[in-house]
Amino acid sequence: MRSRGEDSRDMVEGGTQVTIAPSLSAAVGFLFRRLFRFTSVLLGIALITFSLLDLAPGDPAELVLLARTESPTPEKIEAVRKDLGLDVPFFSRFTNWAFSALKGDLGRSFRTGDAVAREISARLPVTLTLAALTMVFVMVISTVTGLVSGLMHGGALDRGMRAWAVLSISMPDFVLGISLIFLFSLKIELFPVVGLSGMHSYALPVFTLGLSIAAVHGQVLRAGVMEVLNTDYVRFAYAKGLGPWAVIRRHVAKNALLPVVILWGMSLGHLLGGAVIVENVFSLPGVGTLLVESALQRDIPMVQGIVLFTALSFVIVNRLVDAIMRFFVPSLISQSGEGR
Amino acid sequence: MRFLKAAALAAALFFCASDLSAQQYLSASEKSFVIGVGRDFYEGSDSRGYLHGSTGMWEALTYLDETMTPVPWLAESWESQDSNQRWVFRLRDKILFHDGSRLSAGDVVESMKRIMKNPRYDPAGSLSYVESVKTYGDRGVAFTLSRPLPHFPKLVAYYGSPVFKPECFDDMGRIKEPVATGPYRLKKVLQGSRLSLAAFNGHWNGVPPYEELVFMSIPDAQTRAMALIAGQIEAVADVGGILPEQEKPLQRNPNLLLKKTEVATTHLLVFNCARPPFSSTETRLWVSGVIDRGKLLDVFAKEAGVAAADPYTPMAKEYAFGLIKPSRHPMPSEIRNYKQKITIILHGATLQRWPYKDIAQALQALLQVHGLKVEIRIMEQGSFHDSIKAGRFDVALQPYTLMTGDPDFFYSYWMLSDAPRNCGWRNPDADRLINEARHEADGQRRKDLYRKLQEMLNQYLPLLPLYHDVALYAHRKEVRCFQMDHFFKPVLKVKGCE
Repeated sequence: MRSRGEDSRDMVEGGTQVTIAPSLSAAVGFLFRRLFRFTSVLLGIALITFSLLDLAPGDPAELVLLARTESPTPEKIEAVRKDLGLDVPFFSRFTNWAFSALKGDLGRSFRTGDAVAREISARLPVTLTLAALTMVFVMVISTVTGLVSGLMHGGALDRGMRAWAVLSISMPDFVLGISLIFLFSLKIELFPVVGLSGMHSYALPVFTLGLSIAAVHGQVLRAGVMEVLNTDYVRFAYAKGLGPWAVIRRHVAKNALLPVVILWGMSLGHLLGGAVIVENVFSLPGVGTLLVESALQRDIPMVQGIVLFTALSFVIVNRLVDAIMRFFVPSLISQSGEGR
Repeated sequence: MRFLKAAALAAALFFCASDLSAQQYLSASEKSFVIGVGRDFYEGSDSRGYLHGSTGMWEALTYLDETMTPVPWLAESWESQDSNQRWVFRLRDKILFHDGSRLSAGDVVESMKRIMKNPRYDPAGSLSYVESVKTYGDRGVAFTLSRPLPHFPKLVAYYGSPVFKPECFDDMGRIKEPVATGPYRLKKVLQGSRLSLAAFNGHWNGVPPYEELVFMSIPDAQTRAMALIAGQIEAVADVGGILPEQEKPLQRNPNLLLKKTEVATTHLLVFNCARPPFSSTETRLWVSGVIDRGKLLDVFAKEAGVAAADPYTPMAKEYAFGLIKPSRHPMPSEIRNYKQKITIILHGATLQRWPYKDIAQALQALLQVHGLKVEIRIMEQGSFHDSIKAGRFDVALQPYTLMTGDPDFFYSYWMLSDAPRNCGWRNPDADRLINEARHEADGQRRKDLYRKLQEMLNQYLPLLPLYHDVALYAHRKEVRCFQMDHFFKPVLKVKGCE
C-alpha cells in the first residue's frame, strides 16, 4: 500500500520521470481510515468510561435521591432506576447511548434532567476562554524563559529563572490562587474576587493555571536550546558567518521548539478538559467542575458527554499539532510514515 | 498540603480582618442583594423545585417554624377530619403566580399530583399515604389518606409541596419555565455560577425588600469569605457557608457581622450492629460512655454545635426529651479480646463542612489507648453509601437533618427493621412503637410513645448522637436586615427591622 507521501512524489521508472497524482480512491481510503481510527478511539474511550462508571461503587439512582439528605425508600430507588434506564443490561445501555450519541443526542443529565449537550455547551465558553488565554500565556512565557535561560545557561538570569520554575512547579494551584486573590483583589483591588465581569476576570485564573505549565515547558525548551547549541549544524552556521540572531532564529529556536510544540498541544488538550482546582478557587463555571460533580453523583450521561468532548478535543488538537509540525518540518512526513 | 492551604488562608483572612475597603465590586445597585453560597442552587428541570427553596422562587402549603411546628404559608389554615385520615388546607386569598394569574385550589392539586407521580420528587415517600387529593370548595385542598397521619401538615411543609403553575410542567412533571408564587421570580440562570431573581411585586405578602436577588455559587470557603470582605457579595448564607475556623478572623473585620443560628442537623456516630464488635450492646454502651461529647465539641466544633441529648434536633421541642445520656460502663471482654481492625468510615464531602476527620481521629486515639486497632477510611459518596448499605464498616459519622420536624422521619430512617439506614439493629418492640406512634391521633399518647422509643434508643444505642449543628453565616454591616433560618433559608424581611 502506498502512502500519501509516495503517491504525491515524483517517481522514476525505467529512466522516465512519471508524476503520479493522488487518485480519488486513495484519498477516500485515507479519509476512511482516518475516520475509522478517529471513531474507534472515541468509542473505545466511551466504552472504558462507561465500564468504569458501571463498576464504580454507588447506585446512581440512590445518589440522585440522596441529593437532599432525605431518606429514599427502596421502592423509590427502584422506580428511579427504571426511569433512568439503569435496569437494562450493560451492553444494551451502552449501545443505546452510543447510537444516540452518533445522532448527536447525548441524553439527559441524571441530576438535573436537562439535555447533556445543553449543559456542556453552557459551560464551554468559560473553559474555552480559560484554555485559550492560558495557552497564549504559556506559549509566550515558556518561549521567552526557555530561550533566554537556554542561551544564557549557567548565568545569573538562568539560575534565577530556574529557581522561579522550581517555585512555580512546586506551588499548589489553590495556594497560588488564594494568594493572588488576596493580593490583587483585596489589597490592590485590581480584579474581582469571583465572577466574570469581562476578560480581565480571567487574569488571575490564567496566571494561576499557566504559571506551572509555562515553567515546565520553559525548562524543556531550555534543555532543547542547550542541546541544539552543541550540534554540528549550529557550529556550521556560525562558521558560515551567520550572525547570532540569525542562528538563533533559523536554527536554534526552530529545532528546540519542536518538542515544546508537542507539549503545547497536549496541554491544550488537558486544559479543554477543564481545570478543576482553578475553576473551584475562582468560582468559574467550567467543564472541569461539572465533570467532577457529575462523576461524584454518578451522572453517567453527563460524564460520558464530557469525556467524549474532551477526547474529541484532544484528538483534534493533536491532529492540528501534527499538521503544524509537518508544515514547518516536512521531513517528518517521510520519517513517521504517516498515512500508511 | 492541607496545612499549607490552611496557613495561607489564615494569613489572608488575618490581614483582611484589619479592614479592607474594596468597594469597587459592590453590587451594581443598592436595590440588589447578592448572597454567596457554596453550591449551585439550580436544581434542574427534573427536580421538585427547579431552584433551591432558599431562592424564594416557590412556596409550599406550610413551613416549619423554629420549634418545628407547621405554620401557614400558601395555606392559611388546615384542619383534620375523619380522625386524621383526611386533611383540608385552606389557601390564602388572592395569591398570584409570577405571570399575574390567580392561584387556584386546582393548581395546588395538580402540583401535589406532580410530586406524587414522579419518584424523584418525593424520595422519602412522605406522600405515600395519600390516596387522593382534590379541590374542596373555592380555596380548599383535601387530602385523603390511607391511614391516619397526625403530623401530615409537617409532611407537606417546605420541600414537601412546592407549588407551580400546572402549565409550566409536562406530563412527567419536568418544568419548562418555572412559574410559581414566591416573592422573587426567576430572571436568569448561569449554571454553576449565578442565579438572578427579580422581585415579584404582586406577592401576597407585599413588595419584597430588594428589587433583585442574586445567588452566587462560590464553592471554595476561603474565596467566599474574601468575596464578602471585598464587598462583592453582601452575605454568605448556606449550609457550611462559613467554616468554624473562619469564625475568629471574620469576627475581627469591622465591616462584617457574623451570626449563628441553630439548624435542624444532628451529627451521628453510627455503629454497624450487624457484625462484631458493635453487634454487642455492651460494646456500644461502653464506647458511647467513653466518648466525652462535650469535650469533643469544645475542642473541634467550638461554638458551632451543642452536645446532643436527643437523636434529632431539639428544635422539635415537643419531642425533645433529652434522654440520650450514655453512662460509663466497664470494658466488655468481647472488645478487650477483639484483635481485628475497627474501620471508621467518613464521607469525603462532609469533611469540608464539619470536623469529622478530627472527631474520627480522636475516637481512633481513644480506642487505641484501650488496645484496639483502628483505621479511618475517607470515601467519596458512592463508595460511602455502598459501604453503609453492604455493612462494610464498623463506625460511620453522618449528618442527619430532620426535614419534616417529626420524629417519625428519624425513626423510619434509622431504627425501623426495614429502614433505609438500619445498620443491623432490629427490635420488634421498636418496630411496633414506631408504627403505632406514626398513626397515633392522641397528642399526649404519641409523645409518650416517642419518649419510650428514645429510652429504648438510650438503652441499646445503635447510634450515638454527637452534637446538634449551629450554623454560621455572615453579612456586611451596611445590610440592616438579614437572617438565615434553621433550614438555611435567607430571611430578607426580618420582623421589627423594616
